[in-house]
Parts: sequence; C-alpha cells; structure tokens
Amino acid sequence: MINIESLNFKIKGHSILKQINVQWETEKTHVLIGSSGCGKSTLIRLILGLLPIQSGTIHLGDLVVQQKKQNIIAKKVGYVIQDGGLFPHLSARKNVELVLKIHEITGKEQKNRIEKLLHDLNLNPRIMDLYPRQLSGGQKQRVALMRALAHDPEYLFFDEPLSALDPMIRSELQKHLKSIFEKLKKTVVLVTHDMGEAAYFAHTITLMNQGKIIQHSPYDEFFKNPQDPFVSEFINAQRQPPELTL
Amino acid sequence: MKIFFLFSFFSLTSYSSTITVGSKSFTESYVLSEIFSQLLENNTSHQIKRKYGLSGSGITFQALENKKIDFYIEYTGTISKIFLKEKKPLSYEEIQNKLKKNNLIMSPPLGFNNTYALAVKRSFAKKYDLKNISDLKKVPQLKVAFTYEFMNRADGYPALKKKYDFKWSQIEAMEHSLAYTAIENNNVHLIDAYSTDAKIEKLDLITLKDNLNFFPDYHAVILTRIDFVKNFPLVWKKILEQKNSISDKKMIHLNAQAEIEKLSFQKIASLHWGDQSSTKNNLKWKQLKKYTLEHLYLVFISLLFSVFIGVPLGVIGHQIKKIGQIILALSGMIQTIPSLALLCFLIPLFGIGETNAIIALILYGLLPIIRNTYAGLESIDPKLRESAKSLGLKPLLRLLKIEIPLASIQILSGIKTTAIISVGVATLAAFIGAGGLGTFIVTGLALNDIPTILLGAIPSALLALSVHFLFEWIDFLVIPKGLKIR
Repeated sequence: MINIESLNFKIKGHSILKQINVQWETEKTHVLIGSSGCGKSTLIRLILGLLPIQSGTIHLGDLVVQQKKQNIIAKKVGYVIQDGGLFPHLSARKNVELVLKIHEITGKEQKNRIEKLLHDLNLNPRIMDLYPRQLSGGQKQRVALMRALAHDPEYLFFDEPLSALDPMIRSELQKHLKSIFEKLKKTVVLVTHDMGEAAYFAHTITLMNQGKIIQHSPYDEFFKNPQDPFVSEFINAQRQPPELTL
Repeated sequence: MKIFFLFSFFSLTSYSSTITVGSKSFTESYVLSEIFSQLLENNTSHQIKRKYGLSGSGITFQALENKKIDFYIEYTGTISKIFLKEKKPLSYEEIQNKLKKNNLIMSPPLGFNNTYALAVKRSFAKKYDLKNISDLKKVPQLKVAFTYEFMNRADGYPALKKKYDFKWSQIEAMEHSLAYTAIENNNVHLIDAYSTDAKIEKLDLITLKDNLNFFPDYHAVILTRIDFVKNFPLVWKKILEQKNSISDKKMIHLNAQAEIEKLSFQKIASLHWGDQSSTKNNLKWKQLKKYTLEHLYLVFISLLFSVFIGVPLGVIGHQIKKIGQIILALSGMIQTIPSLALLCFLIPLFGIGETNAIIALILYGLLPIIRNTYAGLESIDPKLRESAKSLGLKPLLRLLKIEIPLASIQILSGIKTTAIISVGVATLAAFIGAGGLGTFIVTGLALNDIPTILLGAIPSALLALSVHFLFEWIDFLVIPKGLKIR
C-alpha cells in the first residue's frame, strides 16, 4: 500500500503539489494521468525520496518516506523513465549487474537472477553485451525494465516509459508489460498522458491538474462517472481517428 | 685518530662537492662561463654543473644569493647600478666593500671593459687620423647613427654631446643591426656599440678611446659569495690567476667565434685553453637527448600534479557552485599572467630552477583540467543523474562509477590541452635555469643563431605532436566503449 497524506510541495514559493491525498493498493496497477506540468513527475520523485518532503507524509508500506532514507527506499522500488535511464558507458549486462551489486547480490546468485530475468522478460541474451546506444528504443525499455526488476522490488514506478516509442513497438510492449505485471504481482504506478494507455493498464486512475488530484477512482468508475468537468474534457480531448465512410 | 677522521671527512666533502656555474643569456656571458667551467674541470677534481642562459641580471643575481649557482660573470657597472642601486659610478674598491657587506665578493677585472663605445671603420679612422673620441671634431659633415636607447638615455647621447661639445647635424636613430649595415655600406660614419661586440671585428671597425672618461666602466669580474671562497679556496685561487687575461680584443674575438664562425661555446672555450683537437663541437646531439629528457620530466611531473589537483577541484566546484565560481575565477586569473612573468613571480618563493618551473607549469595546467572536469560533469543528462540516485548509489560511488566515466571524454580533453600547453610553456623554463629544450632557444636567441633556436623549437613542436597522439591512444584505452558509439 502506498499512502499519501496532505502532501504539499513548493519550489521557490511556487506551489507544485497542493494537498495530495491518495491510497494505492498493493499488487494493483495505478495510472497517474494529467497534462504535462501538472505535477505528476514531482509526485513520483517525492515518493522515490529524490526530493525533500516539505509537508505531509508518504508511506511505502510501513516505511515513512524521507529523502535521507533514499537508499532504503531504493531497495523497495524499481524506476523506469522515458528513455530508460540506462548508463551509456555500461553494457546492458553491466547496467543490470550494477543494481544487483548495490543490493549485494553477487556471484552465482547474481548470475541466476539475470538468467531468470532474461527468461521472464523474454529477452535475447545476446543484447546484454550491447551498449545502450546500440539498442533500439524497445530494447532499451526492456533492459531498463530488467534493471528495475533486478533486485525484486515491491513497487514499480514508470514515468512515461513508452511515450517515445513508435506505435507498433509501443502496443507490443504494452501487452508485454501488462502480462509481466500480472505475473509478478507488483504494485505499479504508471505515469502517462495517454488515455488509451491508461485504460489498458489501470486498476485505478488518478487524474491530476495544476498540482491537485481532480479524481481518483477505479478504472470503470472513472469513465462512467466523471466527478469534474475537467475529467470529461480530458477524456474527450484524446482525439480518435475519424470514422471512415465507405 | 680523531684528526684523521676529520681530515678524511673534510677531504671527502671538498672533493666530492659540485660547483655550479651560472651565465646570463647573451653570448659573452655563455662564452666566459664555459671558459671558467673548463678551467675548473681541467685543473680541479670538482664536478662542474652548468646553469647557463638565466634570464636577466635580476634572476641571475638572485640565483647566486640563493646558492643555486656558485659564481657567474658580471660587470662592475651593472653591479653598482642594478644591485647596489648607486647613481654615481663607484670605484672598484668601493664596489668590493659594499659587496662584502652583502656576503658577496668579486674577482679582480678579467681585463676587458664591455662598455658603450663609439665605432668607426678602420679606413675612416686612418683618413682623419682618429684615435680619441675628441678627434671626431676634426671630421666635417660627420654622419652618425645611434640606437634608440643611446639617443634617449640621459646618460647617452645628450650627456655625451655636452661633455665633448659636439655639434653634429646629421644624426639618426636606428636599430642596432641596421646601424651595422649602414656603416658597412658607408651610409654613416659613426655608430654606438658595445666595446666587445663581435661585429666590430667582422666589419673591421675600431672603437675610439673615451679620452674624457665619459662612459662608465663595465669591467668583467667573477661574482660569487664569500662562503664559496671560504669553502673552495683553491678554486678561488685558480680563478684569481685569470686576472687581466682577456683583453678587449680577445673578447671581441671570442664573441666573433660564437656569432660569426658559429662555433659552440664548448669548442670556443677548449680552443681558448689550447685544445685544438676538441670534438666538443659535436656535443649538440648529446645535449638534445639530455634536454628532451629534462623537458619530458618537467611536463610529466607537472601534468601529474595538475591532474591530481585539477580534477578534484573541478568536482568540488561542480558540487558546491559558489566555491566552483571562485575556483574557476582564480584559475582563470592565473592563466592571464604571462608565463615568463609567472616564473619570475615564483622566484621569491621557490628560487630558480626545476621546482619553480614545475610549480609554474602546474598552476598553468590547472585551468583547462578544472574547467573541463566542471563542464563534463555539468553536461551529464540530469535524468541519468537522477536515475543513478534512484538506484540507491551512494554519492561517492555515483561520482566514481557513473559521473566521472560519463564526463571522461571532456576531462581527458582538458588533460590533453594542459599537456600540449605544458610542452610549449616548458620551453620558458630555460630562462630560470630549469633546463629543457628551451635551453637551445635561449642560447640561439643570445647568438642570434636560427639553427640553434630551431634545435629547441622543432623538437618541442614534435613533442607536442607526440603528446597529442599519445592522448589519442589514452582516449582509446580509457574512454568507456559505450560512450564512443554514436
């Protein structure tokens, strides 16, 4: 369970997050949606302990999130950003091994873990010896996912992981991700601004605008029962292909 | 028994000790220093170390006071004017007394007097029967060319004119070398010169006697410290024997051997001591090797320190921005100091020689390394930085495993820039007696001898080029493969 209470955050006197209250249940996929600049990335960074908590509380299970506990938080979470965040000077394998080393998983255990991940993620072992700049966009995201899963964290955070990919690869990866989430039973928070993607993944949807949560509800309720004109506006703004008249 | 030990100790120290001979960076100083170096090499068992080509009277004098050199050849006029800061000319005894108060002592004059002189062609002198400067009054329509310095110095032409009561109308100021060409081609009749200038012999000029004692004396003497005389009494005795052994004419000849016949200083000195068979003229290749090694040593040691100081400063500067601004401003300021001036500023702190040169090179090398380290770290994608944080990497590991490797291309290019600059700046080390390839350049400048200058300049250019290629190779080894893929 991720539990956020009365969270506020300001940068240079300017409010980025205002009075955030939300609970995200364990082993479910929660989508955080909103237009860019609405504060969703800031919220994720606060949960990960990358920014200082100014007022309010965040609980990751029974752990109270604080910036100084960042290395404890790191044990519990995996994090994937838009283009993967892989380190270009390390091969795919070294990127994954780095995380395992941080969490003191070495030797035979390390080897076994990598093999299991390759199997779970349906990845070709040969790409592990390539460098990030030699990988395609989709391969990069798979390796990034592998790195995020390497130490078997309870929580996974994705910050627009698929938005830079072309539609074909994107839909393939969406399918793949969904099956992994279900198989591994992780608590997932996925940030996106794509309504279709949200609909595909979400157990719950949280819509943010200008630093506030506008609506937080289970997936079906979100579409059936918009609680604010902005929600309908946001849903309808996602342009559908025009109907073809034959 | 005790006395025996004392004796053997004394003889050991006196026989094994080294004498360092200095010279300033002009032909006459080099020639005379080498003559005295060989005198002592041939007649004593001491090791002689040569520190030639020191830049200017100030640096050389300081080197003597700081025991970096043991003696060099100086002129009485320079001693009283520059070191004792006397306005009026002093007698030999007056100078000696004042020197002794400063723990210094000079030998009796070596013979010649290298002062300002007025020179005419021998044929011209014969025609008008000229011996003394006063005789110039006999010449109608005299055409005169003086150097700019002599024309404008209060103790130059204006005072000369007054003293000798000249009323010349055809008088021009020109460059020294042009004046020689002008008198050679009979465009002018009279020029000013240094009385031991090599060109006097070459162009068959004679200097006129200063019969009214207008020009101050510039007698050459050996200048040393009193402690040197006490420690090396036999050496000093040997030096004193050379009293009055080099006349004006002899000195002109020695200078001409260097500047006109292009003989090496070693050759000239050994010829002076009667060694006709000397092959010492071929020393240059051996010297080239020695100076190249010295040069590499200066560059390598200073580069090592620059890296170990510069990279951490760049890192600190990047992490604490306010300190970073101060570090960058300071290292930028050092860079604006001309390199020769920086070498001179450091003399009071580190004396002359290697240490000073290395410290100057380190200071000079800092800016490119600090700035590139800073810029390299600054250019890392903030997302990657955050990604590293989110994985739970501790700050030091984050720096060593992620940030420095990611900035490695820029950091190495800063180190490369410093290495190449150092090869160039290290040529200036010769001016403060730190050796290196600059020694050829300083010597060549003194002799106005292009080949000798090139002997220093070409290898240092080649060295800079090799440093460039060496670093291409280091780049290949050190920069992570993943960063080289585009």
